Amino acid sequence: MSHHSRREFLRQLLRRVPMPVLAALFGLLTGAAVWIVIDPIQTRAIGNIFDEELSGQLETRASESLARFDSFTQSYVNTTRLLAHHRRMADYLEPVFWFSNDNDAPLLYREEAPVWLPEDAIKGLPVKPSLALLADLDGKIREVYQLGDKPLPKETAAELQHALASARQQAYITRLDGGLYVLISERVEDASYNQMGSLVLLVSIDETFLNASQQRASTSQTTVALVDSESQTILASSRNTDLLDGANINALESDYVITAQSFFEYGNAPLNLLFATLISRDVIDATRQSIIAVERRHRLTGAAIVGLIFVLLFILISSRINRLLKRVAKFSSRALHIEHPTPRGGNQLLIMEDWIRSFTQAVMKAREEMRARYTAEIQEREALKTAVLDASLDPIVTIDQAGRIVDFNPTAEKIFGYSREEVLHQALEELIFDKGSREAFNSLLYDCLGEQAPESPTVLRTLSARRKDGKLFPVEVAIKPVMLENKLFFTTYIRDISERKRQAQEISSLAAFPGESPLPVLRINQPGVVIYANKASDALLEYWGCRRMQTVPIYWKRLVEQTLETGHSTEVEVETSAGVFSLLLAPVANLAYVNVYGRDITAIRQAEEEARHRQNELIHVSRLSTMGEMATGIAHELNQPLSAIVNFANGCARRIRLGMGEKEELIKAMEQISLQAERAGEIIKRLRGMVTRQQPVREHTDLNTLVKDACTLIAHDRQKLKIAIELQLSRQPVIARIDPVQIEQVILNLLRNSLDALGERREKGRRLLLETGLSARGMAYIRVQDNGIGIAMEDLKHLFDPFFSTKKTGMGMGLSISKTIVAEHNGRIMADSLPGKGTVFTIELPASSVIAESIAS
Amino acid sequence: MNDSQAQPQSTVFVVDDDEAMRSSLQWLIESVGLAVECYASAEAFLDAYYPGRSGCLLLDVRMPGMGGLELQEYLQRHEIHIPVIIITGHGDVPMSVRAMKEGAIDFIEKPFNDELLLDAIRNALSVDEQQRWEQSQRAELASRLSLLTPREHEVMEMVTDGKSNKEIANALGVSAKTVEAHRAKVMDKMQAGSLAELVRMSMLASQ
Repeated sequence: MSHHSRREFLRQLLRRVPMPVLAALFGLLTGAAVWIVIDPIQTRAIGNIFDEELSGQLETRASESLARFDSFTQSYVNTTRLLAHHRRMADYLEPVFWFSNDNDAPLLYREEAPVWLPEDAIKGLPVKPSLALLADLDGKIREVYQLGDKPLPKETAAELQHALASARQQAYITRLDGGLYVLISERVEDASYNQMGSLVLLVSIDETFLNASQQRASTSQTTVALVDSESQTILASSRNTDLLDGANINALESDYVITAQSFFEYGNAPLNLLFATLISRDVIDATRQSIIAVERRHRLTGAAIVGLIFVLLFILISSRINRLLKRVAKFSSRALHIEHPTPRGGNQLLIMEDWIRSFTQAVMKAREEMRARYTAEIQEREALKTAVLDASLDPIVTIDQAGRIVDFNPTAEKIFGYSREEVLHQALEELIFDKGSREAFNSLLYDCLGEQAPESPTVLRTLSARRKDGKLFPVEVAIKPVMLENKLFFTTYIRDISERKRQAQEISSLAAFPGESPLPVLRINQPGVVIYANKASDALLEYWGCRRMQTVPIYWKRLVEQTLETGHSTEVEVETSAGVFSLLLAPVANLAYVNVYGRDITAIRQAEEEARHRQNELIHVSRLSTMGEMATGIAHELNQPLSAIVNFANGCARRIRLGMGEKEELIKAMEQISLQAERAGEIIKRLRGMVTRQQPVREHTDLNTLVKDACTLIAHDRQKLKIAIELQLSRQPVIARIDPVQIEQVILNLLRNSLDALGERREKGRRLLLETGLSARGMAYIRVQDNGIGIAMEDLKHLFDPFFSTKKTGMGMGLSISKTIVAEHNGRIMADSLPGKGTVFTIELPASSVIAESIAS
Repeated sequence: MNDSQAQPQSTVFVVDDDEAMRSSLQWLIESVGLAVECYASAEAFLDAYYPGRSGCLLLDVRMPGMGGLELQEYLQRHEIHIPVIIITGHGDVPMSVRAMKEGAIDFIEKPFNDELLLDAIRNALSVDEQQRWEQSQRAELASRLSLLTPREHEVMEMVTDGKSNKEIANALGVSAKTVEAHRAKVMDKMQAGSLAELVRMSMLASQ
């Protein structure tokens, strides 16, 4: 468990780290490991190479040193030859003669150079020779020139004897009195070419000499030394300070690398000498280390570059993977509807791995779901099919190609009286159909087989069927061929139509009834075709200009459609040549036609017309009679603006006279004057409107529209007073035959009263309710209800009297006039009020059953 | 103009439901330098007014809610004696008569002559001033009267009835000298310089 969780934790950790970082880390670690392994091997290998190279180098250098020493020594030999054959030497020796028995001490020059030795020749040498000697033919020293501090070594005479006698090499290295010297001898002659003896130069081999011999060498780390090959001791060296003469070279091996060479040129010398070249090991080691360091640096740089390329490569790869992940995520969410958000950061490889795993799971899940859904759907469909078959009200029988029954639904069992088990595998035509119908059934089968696309068409035919008890009854048969696993089946729907046939007979017998009616009875279907019209309808058909089975005019067609749509009966009046008819359109919605019942109302209409005429006369008379009363009211109302005008004017005059009052103030007052004058004008206009006798106008008008119009007229006041208006209007148009202008005036009047009443109460909750509708007595009504201050009981009685007003501004005519107008329309106006609670005004007007043309269009 | 200087605190209260009437009246009355306050209804006026305020009331008879006459009645009932000028419209004459009977000091018919209106206002303001002065006098007298002892009261009543010291002494059954002493006390307490003054005070107090 803990192991697993640790692994999970590691995985989570890895997930967080982006791939390039991981790659860099990994590269670094690997590099370090390889470095640790490789570095010592490499270093060693380089050391070996270095050592090999070094030994070669050392040998070369040693031989170079020796060559330099040789040529340096040779220059002394040459000088000696030059001196020996110099003119001055010959000239000097001309008069000289050395007696062999003469035992005098040699002639010694110290401060001054002898005549035979030109100074110039000596001066050119880098290191001055220690001594120059003249010896006779016997090797006896006759003259000595001491150039430095070193006196003539005692062993020189013997050495010379020996050297000259054996006539050996003219130059060699020898040891005299412990010091190491180069001995160079050359024969000398006098001017007469008589051999006189030898010129011998002794050059001390010491530090100075050796250094001078190596002067042209570039490195100073090299030390040269002359070693006695027998004792292996150093006789002379170029660096005396740290290499003591006489030290054993083997002892120096630890500090120096030593290369020893023998002198071939001086092989015959009495001394067996070795020429040694010494190089300090410290120096070599330092060089070696620096070389290794340089090389290591190069390696590091190389490794860093490779690492960098490696990381860059991974960045490139991970960004590619990122892009790929995003694209796949987008694709999966769009195409497969699998939402799988890709994390923004972290290790792309691990993320991809996780992602692919969860993606696979999501796909599997989606596939599982789809399969489950599909299976459920199939099962559902199957169940539905069975249910449909079982629940069908009609018998459904399935037969095979041979006409044998395969399935027999419960309804079929009930209607035919057979049980399912009884009829299975029996021939359908023989069992069910009457002899006369069998042929027709077979041809039906044949027909539906012959169809091009046997899946879709359904053939229907009326046949005669027989029950188990032998009773025959009419049926309608529909066959649908079904192809199942390459076998053909027929689903046969059989419908019992005996009831329908009976009904049809009954209807046709009933149809005779309206024909006998003396009033028009018609039936019009939805497209407006007159399906039926009795004899009494002839006048109406003539009015419409159509015959039976023809379409009625467009207006009536629309009326029929409307009646069917609303589902309510409509009454319409028509004036035909035979008189005025009231037609009642009764919809039969489920059959999509309208029954029209006519009523002759000619006589009624004539009487009404007469009564209305008389009424108009009356109204005018009564209006004139109220005129007188009205004049006082008007005068009263006019008084208000006129008084205000007078006051404003007087106030202005006074101010102007006294020279007081601001200009703006005066202008405002004057504006008030004109405003009040306008108000007075309005009052007068209203008066004129009332007095003018107008021809009564009557139009079929929708009261709903009227109420809405009136509301828009008071919109401003409503907003100002913050009143909520609620409309509870009838859904159907409320039609009345009225003067819309006058009735609107009445509505407006009531609304104004309500606004005033509402203005008196506190602002919150001011409410105005407007209703329209049809009362039970067939009256159209408009109700205006407010929750204003209300009207006192005693005032309620006088509410509709002329000049009764509780308002100062009102002249008490509004409700009086309203009452007159409503009365003219054969309606009435009522008021009810609870003081402090509110008031309800109701206007009732006779509703019209007629839908006017103006409304219909 | 003089009026405004004489009665700096006097205000003309206008109560009328018609906005145009109110503002026009204010405009007119302010032209003679009087302070005007307008109210749209009797109720609004009553809300704002307190009895101590001096001035007069211009009152429209016909108003929704509390009418002019009702307001007048209300003021009477509450013994607020601010002078009332009634504004009437044409045809309201019977109403105006009623108002006059109720104690309005003037009535003006719309549309009105400005001089007439302003004269009426001036008159009303002076009446108000007079009333206020008398009222303050009465209050003063009442405080003086309260200083009198019951016996001194009796003496004062009799003196102002014109009775002589002797008659008073007889009636009260005391000596004339005692009456004389009482009388001097009364004169002193009432701060009356003469008998005539005392009589006037007594009349004023009895109103």
